[in-house]
Amino acid sequence: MRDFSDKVLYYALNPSHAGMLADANAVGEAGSLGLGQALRLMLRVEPLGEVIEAARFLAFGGSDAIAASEALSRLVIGKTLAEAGQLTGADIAAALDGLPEGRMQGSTLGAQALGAAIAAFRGEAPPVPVQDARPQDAPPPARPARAAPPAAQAMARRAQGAPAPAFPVPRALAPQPDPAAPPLSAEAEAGQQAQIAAIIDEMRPVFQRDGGDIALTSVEGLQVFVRLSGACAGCMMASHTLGALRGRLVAALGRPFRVIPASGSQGAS
Amino acid sequence: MTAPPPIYFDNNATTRVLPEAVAAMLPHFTDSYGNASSAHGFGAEVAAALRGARQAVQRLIGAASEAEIIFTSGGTEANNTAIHAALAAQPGRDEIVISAVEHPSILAPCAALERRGLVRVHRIGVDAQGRLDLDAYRAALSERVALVSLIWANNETGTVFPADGLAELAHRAGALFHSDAVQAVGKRPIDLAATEIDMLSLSAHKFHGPKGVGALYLRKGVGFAPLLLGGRQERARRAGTENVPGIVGSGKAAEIAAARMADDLPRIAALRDRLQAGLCAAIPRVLVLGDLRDRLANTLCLAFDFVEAEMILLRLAQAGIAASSGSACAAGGTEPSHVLRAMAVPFSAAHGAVRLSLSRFSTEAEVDRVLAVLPGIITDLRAMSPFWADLVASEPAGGRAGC
Repeated sequence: MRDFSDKVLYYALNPSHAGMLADANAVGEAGSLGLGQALRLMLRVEPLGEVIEAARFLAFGGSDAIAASEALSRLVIGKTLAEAGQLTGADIAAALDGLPEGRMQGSTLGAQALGAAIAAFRGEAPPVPVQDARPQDAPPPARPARAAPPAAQAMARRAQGAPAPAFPVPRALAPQPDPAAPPLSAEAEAGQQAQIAAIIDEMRPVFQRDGGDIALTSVEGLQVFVRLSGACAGCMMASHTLGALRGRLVAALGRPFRVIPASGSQGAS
Repeated sequence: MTAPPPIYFDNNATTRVLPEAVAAMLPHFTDSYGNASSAHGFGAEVAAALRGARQAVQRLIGAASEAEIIFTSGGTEANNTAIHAALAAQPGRDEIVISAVEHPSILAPCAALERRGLVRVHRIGVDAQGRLDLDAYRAALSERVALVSLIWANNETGTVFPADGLAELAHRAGALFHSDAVQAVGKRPIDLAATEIDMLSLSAHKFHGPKGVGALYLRKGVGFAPLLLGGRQERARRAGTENVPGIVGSGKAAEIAAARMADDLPRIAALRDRLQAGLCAAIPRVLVLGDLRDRLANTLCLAFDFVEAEMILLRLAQAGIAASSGSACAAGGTEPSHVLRAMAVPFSAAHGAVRLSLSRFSTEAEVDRVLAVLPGIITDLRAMSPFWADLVASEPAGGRAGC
């Protein structure tokens, strides 16, 4: 079919990494229905060494998109996030023995989703600016719009700088502001703080291995204040490790926490 | 275990050449190689064969006279000739009316003339079933219109336009009426003598004839100017030595199509309807595209939510089933065809349109096999589609089958 390599066709027809990854802690999405291709990359990252232990994907698109998703999943397993972050669309295409001219989108999609997954794990904004792909004067779709699934919303939001889709994205799929985190009851809040403290305790050996320490200071809404001390305070590794901590918190509690370090010398207990 | 024989459900792309057509062609590659324009016996024999083919095509489309048939190199040349001839025949008129769902061999020459500032082109839209917007059509007709060219049956959806009525409307504005009937000829009865249609394009390989042969029907008395200039072949309307083997094979295919149409069409329609009903019963969230009240008997165009057609075709090909998609390879990857865009197919399904087109060679067993294979392919592909996962999560009943 067309001039796809045997490897593209093999991966497209036999994607062994397609499906859900239940315990994923880094999920990135790229593409949209309107663009004709979309990828949700799910990674399970071991937080201490930031090694990608497992990767699965859900993908919509042509042979290039499915094959690139499969190739990407195979490429990233066993790599650290830092190593994986170096991967480009060209690397994915190379792993497929190349993609035909004009059909490189699949590999670009893979690189975007990977970037988004890494950013999500680190608690950063997605690497590409969020853009509304829906033409403002687009007519409503012929079929009545239904409540958008959350991931479809996210995908529509991330129609990353791509040309406007040939079809209007219905209003329900159009970008919407993230709802503010719903307030928790006092009881739930206490339970949540205990969970956060437990996760931080679990991760203390990582900080101690680097000659420092970490302690929970307070939790205010979605902001988790911690105190770093010793060799950890202000070092490069700290921000790295705090990213991993954030990833753990987000994965365990399902809320978009931010981890904010306070200075070690002034830290209150 | 041997693989089952392949299934060819892509008959709107091209068809299997009839053995009878091949047999009719073969002598013209060997013994009967004369030039029909020659005065000697070699030529006379060939001229007689061409005449027989012309009469067979005349009967297939119900033309009043064999002289109204101009053989061409195919549907594309016939379409280009019709546009060229209509403009040349009516120097005072410089507008063309077409639809948004024409074949590229109409769209491209019209766009080229428009770019050169020679004509104004009206492109009439269609509704969700692919039916022409009649109000817009009437509004576009005026004394400035040289030619109306409308596709008789759509290649992607099989939707049939009411060509005879549309021709009458064109004539009220004094415009010539041409129809690209490449998909319609051989797949539905056509009786041109009973209509007001001025010109019509057909292509032999769509009705089990050879490739590289088409014809332009030109009603007697309608002004004309040839596209190809040179010798006086085809009554000086199409220069170039005739493709004798191809034309003779086309004549045989036309003869057989006309003879068998009354038996073939209901049988093909029944197969297609069983295929449609079976797929709709087995697969949730699928749309049948086209005008279900007036559609080619052999065509089934389905659009599946949340899956991409190329992957469906790849998996079908793996299972030995040939079909085609409503997508075109475009600069930005695959995107829905101009026909699907004109029909405003819902965005969730626009990338998942697949066309299954049958022929007189299609069998019950083939339909059974597609019914056994295609639902599983859609289930598999949806299982890896993020949009399907979200749908099932948010709307558990959304996965129920039925068109």
